[in-house]
Amino acid sequence: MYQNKVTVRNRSGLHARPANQFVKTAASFKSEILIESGEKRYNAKSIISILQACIQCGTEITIIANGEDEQAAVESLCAAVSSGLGEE
Amino acid sequence: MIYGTGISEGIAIAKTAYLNIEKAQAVHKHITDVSDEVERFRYAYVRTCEETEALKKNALENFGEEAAEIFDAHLGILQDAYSIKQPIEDLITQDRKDASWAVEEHMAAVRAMFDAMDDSYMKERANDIGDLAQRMIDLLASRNTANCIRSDEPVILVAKELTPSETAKLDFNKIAGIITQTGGKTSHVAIMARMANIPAVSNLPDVFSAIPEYARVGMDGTSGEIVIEPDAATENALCEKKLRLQQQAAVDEQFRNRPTATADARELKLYANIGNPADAKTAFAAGAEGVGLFRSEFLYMDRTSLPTEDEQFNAYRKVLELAGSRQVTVRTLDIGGDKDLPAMHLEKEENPFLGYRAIRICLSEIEIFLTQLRALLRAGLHGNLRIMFPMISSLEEFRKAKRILDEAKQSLRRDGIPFQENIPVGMMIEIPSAAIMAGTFAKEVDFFSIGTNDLIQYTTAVDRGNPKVADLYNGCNPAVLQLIANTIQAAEEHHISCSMCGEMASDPLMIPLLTGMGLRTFSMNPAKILHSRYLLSQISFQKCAEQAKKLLNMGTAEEIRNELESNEFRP
Repeated sequence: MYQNKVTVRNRSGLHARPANQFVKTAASFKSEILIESGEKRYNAKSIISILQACIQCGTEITIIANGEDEQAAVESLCAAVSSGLGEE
Repeated sequence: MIYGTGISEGIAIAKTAYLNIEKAQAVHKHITDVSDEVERFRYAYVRTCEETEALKKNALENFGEEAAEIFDAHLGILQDAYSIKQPIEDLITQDRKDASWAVEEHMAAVRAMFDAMDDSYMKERANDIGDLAQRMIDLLASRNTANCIRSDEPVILVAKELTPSETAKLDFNKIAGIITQTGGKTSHVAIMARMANIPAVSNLPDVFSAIPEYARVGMDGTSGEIVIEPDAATENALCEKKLRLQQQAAVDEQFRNRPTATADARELKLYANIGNPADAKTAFAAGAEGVGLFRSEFLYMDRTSLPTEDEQFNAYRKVLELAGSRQVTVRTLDIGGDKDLPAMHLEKEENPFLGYRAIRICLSEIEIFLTQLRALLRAGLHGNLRIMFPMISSLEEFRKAKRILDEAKQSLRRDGIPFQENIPVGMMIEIPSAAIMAGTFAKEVDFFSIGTNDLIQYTTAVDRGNPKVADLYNGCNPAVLQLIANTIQAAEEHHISCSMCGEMASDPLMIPLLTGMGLRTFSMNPAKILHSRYLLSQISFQKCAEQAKKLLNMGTAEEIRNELESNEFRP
């Protein structure tokens, strides 16, 4: 298992196009990947789950991966979130 | 023999296939063969994904990235195995529910979650989920959706009507002809069928009762005739007709790369009428020397939000880039409440054709007009653009529209956004008051384009869509011809260009007369360009001009038509 924290920078949170970007990136890895926000965990490869999570701007989330490419997955996703997931 | 209205020319003989766009209901039953049912679901699921990819591609081509995003969102939802695909399959395998029931139940639950959120974005996703659920349920009910035609041979599509979004999904390689219940000569079906060069007949009440499914049918898109299970003699006659059309097409083909000119070397121009950027490629491939009418309504129809300036800019720029140095004339928003415009919340009117539409909406909803004009001004840097206002009935209207164009320029300057300063600005001549005053307008506008379809209707007070009076719609009406002649002359006197973008421009009967009146630019459905070029090469401008004088003095449409039919315009 590997994990790391990152803060969501997007103005409308983990939403719309950024959410789609996030899920697409997550889907490219073999590991099982979860987002932890507050007390709850959500499947990072499920757009519905991510949208339901309603992650707002400024929220710090933990990205947790489990599998053969877990480190690459976490690092890649953290980098993507820090860089704004394609927005502005 | 059944008679409808021919709305797109050509002959087809093929088996029919129904396109039933009524929504199917989920079937609430328990199933026994679980693996079979899962297979059934997966088939519908895959097809829905494919359809969405096609819609995304179409949106990308016609509108740009922003518009395609919504289909990207749909695909994201469909591809969510964890929250969507797997739970549905579980309902089938564990609860033994019929696939359509499983889809309905699970998607309703997901939808409810989104509906409960306050966010407007989430509420939109709720709608998407409902949409996707219905599409899968329709597929499971074996409704032929537009790209699901199960036949190796091309079919004749039979439908109540064809909306632009249904049209976007059609695979024209599989369609030999189209028969619809509604949709007149200027309807979306007609325009689309003509662009695709496919025969179409409409105006058949209760079309699914009149035309059986999987029956062999012969149809003539010119005469509007339909024969169900034609006998050998009828089929032969149709085949012969088709052959003659093909032979003419081979002759026309030789004119693809030739310039347009009469037999006595008067140079003319043949342009295309297009309805969206995807048509532009077809138009230039068909030999169009420019675009005389680029209808902009596609940007506003069939959607719940207004097109952004960037979306519009991308669409206009795309066509301008394809055109290269060829001239492209964009007509600003020309639509009213009679068309499907959920984005604009237009009220139903008693008399929509005399009502709040086209330029009238633009002069009232200035923000909407400014957005379109800004997009056009920006796009003007990427090619040879002209802007044209529709439905102008007075000089005041034209001047007001121009002032708003100036406002658009100023606002772009303030924003530091580059744009084309000197775009020619003209108008449609389609309202009689404008045609009568053509001389006055010619002093202030950069060009005219004659819209004969509406000009005929307004001048003779005939609604061509009304079957009771449709036969009164007559391009040979002497009053209409006078107005056209007046317009062409006024343009010549004031040295401005005058083109024609109405159907009359491609009518073989009228081309010699229009040429004789002095018309130099004809804009038409791309499929007609080659044949028109051929026709023009066979006639003498001198003869046409002489005859035109004579014809304009005649008192009845019948005389004029007879004269045109029997006359020889060859040199």
